[in-house]
Amino acid sequence: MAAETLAPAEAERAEQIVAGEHEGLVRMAVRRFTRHRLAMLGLVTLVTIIAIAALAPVLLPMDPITPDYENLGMPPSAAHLLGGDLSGRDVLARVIYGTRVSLIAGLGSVVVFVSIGTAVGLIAGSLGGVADQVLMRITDIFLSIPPLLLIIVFISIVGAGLGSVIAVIGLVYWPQTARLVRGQLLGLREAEFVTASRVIGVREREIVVRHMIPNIFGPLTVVATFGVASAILLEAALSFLGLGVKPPTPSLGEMIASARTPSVLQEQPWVWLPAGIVIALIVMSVNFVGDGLRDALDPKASRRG
Amino acid sequence: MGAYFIRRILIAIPVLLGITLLAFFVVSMTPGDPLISRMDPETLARMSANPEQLEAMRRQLGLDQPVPVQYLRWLEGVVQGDLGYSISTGRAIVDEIGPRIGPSITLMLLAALVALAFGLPAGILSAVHQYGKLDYALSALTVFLVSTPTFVLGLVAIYLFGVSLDWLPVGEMVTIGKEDDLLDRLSHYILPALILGLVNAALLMRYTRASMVEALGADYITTAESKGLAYRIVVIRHGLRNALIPVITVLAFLMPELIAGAVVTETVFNWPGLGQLSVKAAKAGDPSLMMGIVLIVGTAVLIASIVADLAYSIADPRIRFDRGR
Repeated sequence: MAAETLAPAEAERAEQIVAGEHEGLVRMAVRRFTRHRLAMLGLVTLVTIIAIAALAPVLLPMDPITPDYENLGMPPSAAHLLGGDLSGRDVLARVIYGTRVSLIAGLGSVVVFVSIGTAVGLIAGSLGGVADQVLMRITDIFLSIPPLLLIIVFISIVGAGLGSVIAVIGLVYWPQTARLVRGQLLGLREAEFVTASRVIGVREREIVVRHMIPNIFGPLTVVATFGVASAILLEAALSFLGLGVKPPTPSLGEMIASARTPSVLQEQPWVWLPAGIVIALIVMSVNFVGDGLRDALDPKASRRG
Repeated sequence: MGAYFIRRILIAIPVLLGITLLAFFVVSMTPGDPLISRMDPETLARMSANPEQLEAMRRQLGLDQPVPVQYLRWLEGVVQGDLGYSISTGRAIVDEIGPRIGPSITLMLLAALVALAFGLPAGILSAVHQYGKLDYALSALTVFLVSTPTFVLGLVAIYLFGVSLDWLPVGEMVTIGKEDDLLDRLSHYILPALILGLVNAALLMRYTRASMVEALGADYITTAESKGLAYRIVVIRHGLRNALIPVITVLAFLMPELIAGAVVTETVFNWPGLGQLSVKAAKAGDPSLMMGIVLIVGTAVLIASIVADLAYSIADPRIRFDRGR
């Protein structure tokens, strides 16, 4: 098509493309993300929380495990900004170190389940046939048992602890990712640009590696982000139930569990409420970032709702 | 319809077998002698004096056979209602689980009603006022409910309504000594059902809103409006009816959420249901009891998803034709 038949704006863009100055996909995604106000707010909150958690040993003079018997169940004071818990440990230190544990559990389990899910999805989607059928029935089985119950089952076998929490959440959550990757792969198989590559003689392996896998990254990032939120909530729930991180390792869920003692619930809100607020804050921020990423990377999905 | 029904059932069979395989795997993780999880402790104690009898029992249960045969023998027992014995309490699994099914179903049904009562209208209002103040307020509330752990919401509710205001009881299903008092019973139901229900209402609202926004954008809505129908009627008769179809399946998706939420809610409110039992079993390191719960819950969720799919296909005949996998 000749340039003079285009509208001025299109002609300008066409010239940019020819000159190699057009906006890349990455920059376009970044622009869409930064325009999402809640996502930016979530990102700033999250970065702040991560920074505080990472710098905890530098920021805090006290550690979260050594008890100070003068601080036993004491309300907030200048020395202990959030007071002390029932063992005399500093609540602020426990909240910050507990946040560390939450973040590690969240990110760790996502790494595990996204790896398994992507591998299974790629295998099922590219092999097809019997392998696909078998793998998909296995995901059906996992999806038909409520995740929390399945996690409790595995924890009862392997025992509590941060490592097993990460492994078990990872082992239980992969089917959703596998479904997504497989679905995307099957969809891309029929996409015009893939057919076009095939027509011009690009080898099948190169099509999968160069054209299909990069296109799955967007939706996968979104799923991984929301996965971090779910995993953090799950770790908190497990620790609350007494099946998560082992004491004395600080965990936000375990701190909240101390409110099951009526006297703590009624008279010592500083022992448990801060931990609850921090979890809600982290999860909310992650969810906002996820919304922003979905709008930025997977515009087709967000247009519907 | 018949063909679809049969295909749906056929897909479910391997899944059901998978659930039993998983359950068998769990029960085979029981530490120590497998006989402990298969026989009631008294008989076992009596037999222990006599090694020959124990051997005979092992042979009868197929424990001297390879694992696949053991699985089939075990499955045979399960089908006949023999789930074995809890290794932590020594009682039959059926007796441990049986009395707890009722309370769990009661809690989940009430919570589902709460979720419907709040989630559906909120989703519709949100969609009708899309990008309006009400929409933003409701969306913010949803984000808050979805991001705050259920147990934190539960504890705050206990603090507010149970302790500070002292309006409602905060645990168990009845007050001891008041077993026949219906009002007392209902007052115990309010907080747990409300907490579990509101969390699910938030999820339901999101789906309803998305579904309703899509339905309201359809051409037939424009047609209905241009015929001069009142907007209310258009929303309810044309929008809502079509929007509700996908919501049916969402109700089935909510079931695992309800169950997961019930595990936590039952623990917070000391509710004598299956969720609380599963936490107890995990803490006691009791795989045989865990297996029983997996079997019951897995089967229930599977049946619910089949029912939802069939309901969906009745509500929306298109689905039977274009959803062949």
